[in-house]
Amino acid sequence: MRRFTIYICAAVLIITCGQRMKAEGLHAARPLAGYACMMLNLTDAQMRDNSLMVPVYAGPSTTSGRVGNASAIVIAKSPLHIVNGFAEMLFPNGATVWIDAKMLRPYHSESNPNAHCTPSLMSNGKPGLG
Amino acid sequence: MNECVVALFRVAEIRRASIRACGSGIAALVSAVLASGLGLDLCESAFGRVPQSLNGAPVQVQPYVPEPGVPLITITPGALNPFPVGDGTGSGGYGTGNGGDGTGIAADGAGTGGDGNGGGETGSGSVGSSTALSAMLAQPWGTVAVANTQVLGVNASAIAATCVLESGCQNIAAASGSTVSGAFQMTNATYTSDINAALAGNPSLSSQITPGLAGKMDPATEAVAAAQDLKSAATSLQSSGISNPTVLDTRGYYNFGARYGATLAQASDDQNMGSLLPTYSPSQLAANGITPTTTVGQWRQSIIAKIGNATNQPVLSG
Repeated sequence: MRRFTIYICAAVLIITCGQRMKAEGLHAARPLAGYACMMLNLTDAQMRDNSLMVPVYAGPSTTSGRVGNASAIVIAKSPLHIVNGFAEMLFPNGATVWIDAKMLRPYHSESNPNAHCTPSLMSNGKPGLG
Repeated sequence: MNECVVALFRVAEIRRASIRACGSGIAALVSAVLASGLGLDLCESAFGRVPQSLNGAPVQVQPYVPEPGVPLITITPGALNPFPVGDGTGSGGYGTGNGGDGTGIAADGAGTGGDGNGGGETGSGSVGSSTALSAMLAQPWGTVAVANTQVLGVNASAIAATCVLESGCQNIAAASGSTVSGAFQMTNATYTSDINAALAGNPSLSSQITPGLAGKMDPATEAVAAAQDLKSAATSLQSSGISNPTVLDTRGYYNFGARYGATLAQASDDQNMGSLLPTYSPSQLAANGITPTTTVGQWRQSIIAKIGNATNQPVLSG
């Protein structure tokens, strides 16, 4: 009977911890090999201009279909994979998309030269920045 | 009757047999885990169903032609949320802010402090659970604002969170030298652009709103423009690969600009804001109340502290 009680306590503890883990915020589960952070080749003002869009495409050409717009920091294939002037990158929803290679530049933080950015598989199962 | 008694005894026998069968430790553990897990899940769904699945007040029938023989029913504006959730933390502190940072919808400089004197985030009180929606519904204009928001397909909790963040849902006049005003603290330019877009997409709303710039000081009308603004932000985030933008995601969009909204939405809690806003200088970060070493998790928590679980609700309801 005592053993049975101990097992019940252990089970409740495990489940309670599980519930708490579910409530944790977004975090990096593991780095995404073969990818690197890059940023858009825009000035600070352009970067925050909501009317300025940098399109990404389904394939390495403008005729392949526009998928959406790039965010400030992109997850690019590393080393860069450029076809027809377009660089391969990973969209936040996990899709492989292509961006005009001239729109990319190396990642660098103005406020923190030692800043790091690691493309990662996030705890929500999607690509993200760790 | 006798059959029922016999059946009950049989059930009792089966239960006793089941307990004997659970004599081994492993079986006991498995049954305990299943029972506990099932119990917790049932508890979650039982308690979670009320506050967490509520995306705004239920759709209200708003007759515009009286039906003969039916008594006139008046819904008193300002009635409290019919689904009160309160977490006991209270909602005091409205109007006691620090002068604001001019961020949010009013931020026409996208993260550089906006107009700077618009009152900004005056709602510094803790608003937990679904109290953001309750806070808005407690206002005389709250019910109409919810109805207007529904027309645009925007989650009422999202628009409520915006007014709580911007003004504590108080209709604040513009300060000298600024056009930022109203419960949603919008500039004249942003308001005009958004209200025109909302009316273009939903002409039926034109009979519900106060026309012209005067509408900015009618919170139920300004709510339409604010909802349009939220919708645009959510749509923009979707085009950047964020599938179901939340209130928190749109805060990043407003505070730091469209491109950074999507970046923040996919960032780890332990990342530094200075790493994710690479073109921001330290002074620009300071203008937004953060430092290069402020973590994304800390920034997210600062939003959660103000609007509770409205933070992670989706912006689009349709």
